[in-house]
Amino acid sequence: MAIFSVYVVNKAGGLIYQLDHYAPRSETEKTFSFPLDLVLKLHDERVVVAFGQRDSIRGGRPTGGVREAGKHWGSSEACGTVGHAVLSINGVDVNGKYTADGKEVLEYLGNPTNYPVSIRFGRPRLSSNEKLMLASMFHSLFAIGSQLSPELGSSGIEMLETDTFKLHCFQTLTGIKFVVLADPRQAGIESLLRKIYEIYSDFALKNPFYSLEMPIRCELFDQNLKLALEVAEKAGPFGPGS
Amino acid sequence: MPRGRRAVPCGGGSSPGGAAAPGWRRRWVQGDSSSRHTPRQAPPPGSAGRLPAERVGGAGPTHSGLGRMSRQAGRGTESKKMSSELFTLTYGALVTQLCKDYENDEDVNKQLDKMGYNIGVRLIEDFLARSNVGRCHDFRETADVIAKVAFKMYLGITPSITNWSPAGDEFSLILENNPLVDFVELPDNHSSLIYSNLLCGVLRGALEMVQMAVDVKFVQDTLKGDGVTEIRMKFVKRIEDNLPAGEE
Repeated sequence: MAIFSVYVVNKAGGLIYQLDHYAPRSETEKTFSFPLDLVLKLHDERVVVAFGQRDSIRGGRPTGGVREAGKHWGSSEACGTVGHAVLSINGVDVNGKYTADGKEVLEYLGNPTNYPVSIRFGRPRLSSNEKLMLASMFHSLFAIGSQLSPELGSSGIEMLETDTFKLHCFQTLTGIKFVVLADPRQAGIESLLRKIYEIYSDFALKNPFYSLEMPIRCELFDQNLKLALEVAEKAGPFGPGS
Repeated sequence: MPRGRRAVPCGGGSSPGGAAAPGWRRRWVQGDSSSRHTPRQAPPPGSAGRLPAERVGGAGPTHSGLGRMSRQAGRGTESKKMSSELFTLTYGALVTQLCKDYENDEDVNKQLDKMGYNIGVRLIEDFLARSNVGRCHDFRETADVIAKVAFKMYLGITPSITNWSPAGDEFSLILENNPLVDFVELPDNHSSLIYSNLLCGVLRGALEMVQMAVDVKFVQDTLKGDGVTEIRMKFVKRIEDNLPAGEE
């Protein structure tokens, strides 16, 4: 049972807080010799596996467009096909498309003298810009959802469900949205969202040095939020005991 | 030798609301409210000690005035008691410092309103998070929530709602006693000072965050010799920009 991440979106749709609590990383590290039997390409400032599959390292798959929209939040598949990305070479994390010492990854891996090389592949993490963008997109989707409602005064999107995660959203009367991505089997997210609202009203709002609608950079907020997430996770699929 | 019955002091326990001043003060300091039977003990969740309008998400005691500021379950049910005296002194220090800084009653009133506004925009989230009230559909509902839930939660008093205008967009809150002005007397050289103007700002700021523009002012003040404190609230308009989705 896991809660993957928490997002807080302000009235204007800007992301003011984000926490990655648990990421089910499916990473593989393997030693390769020249030539590489995977086809790598540059995509979105990262080096990804374009085609080919070996062991658990996966190449790209064609997306189904709108059908895969639900997966967008959890990956960088904003458009086109994306597979596993190069995360580190010889134990040293890569920096986007460059190695740690500034060489281009594709160039490095095209040079037979650098082999044998140990490469770690895995799902690429979202950068903070991508998260900002996705949060605004969700904010707009949320507005569309309320407008599509046949009845007045819709609560807006409360849950977005996919096979790998469930996204729960709670919008307060003042327009702030709390979004939690969790394992589909995790229960008790509704009360967790209310709890996060309380933690926000306490540790963010009662901090006089925090300005409204701005990114939340309060230590106490972080700590208490993590505590609340742990409590919710421990409760497991049966929901928190009352 | 006749044995008289020993008089039981009515300090703790279930002193009824509206007790005389010393009893009131004791109630604040001891932190129990008339709805609880045993002071200093958090009631079990779901007990009858809570107002029906207030449903706190999850377990835990609710606020019931300054004398008892309890925390929700999950942060431990230790109740943080703070004496109302400290609050009165703090507020008094604030007002007197403002008077020294600005020298002019009108400016002080404006500053108090601004400060109240800043408090209100933050307080509303705390209120909504703890009280779980839904959106009010008209101004009458709003008035009820303000008087019966909000004032009770934060100041421990329940003002009465009167003097509705025929159009239903104005009403008065009558406060029998105002905790901010315990022990305060206004001197003659500050006759136009609205001592509790902070409250007006708080109400204005809080309602603005839920898309209601209101005009709040004091029309009667016990400090100025009136019998009660009366706050007049007028609904100006619904704030249409930046509406949260789904509220159109």
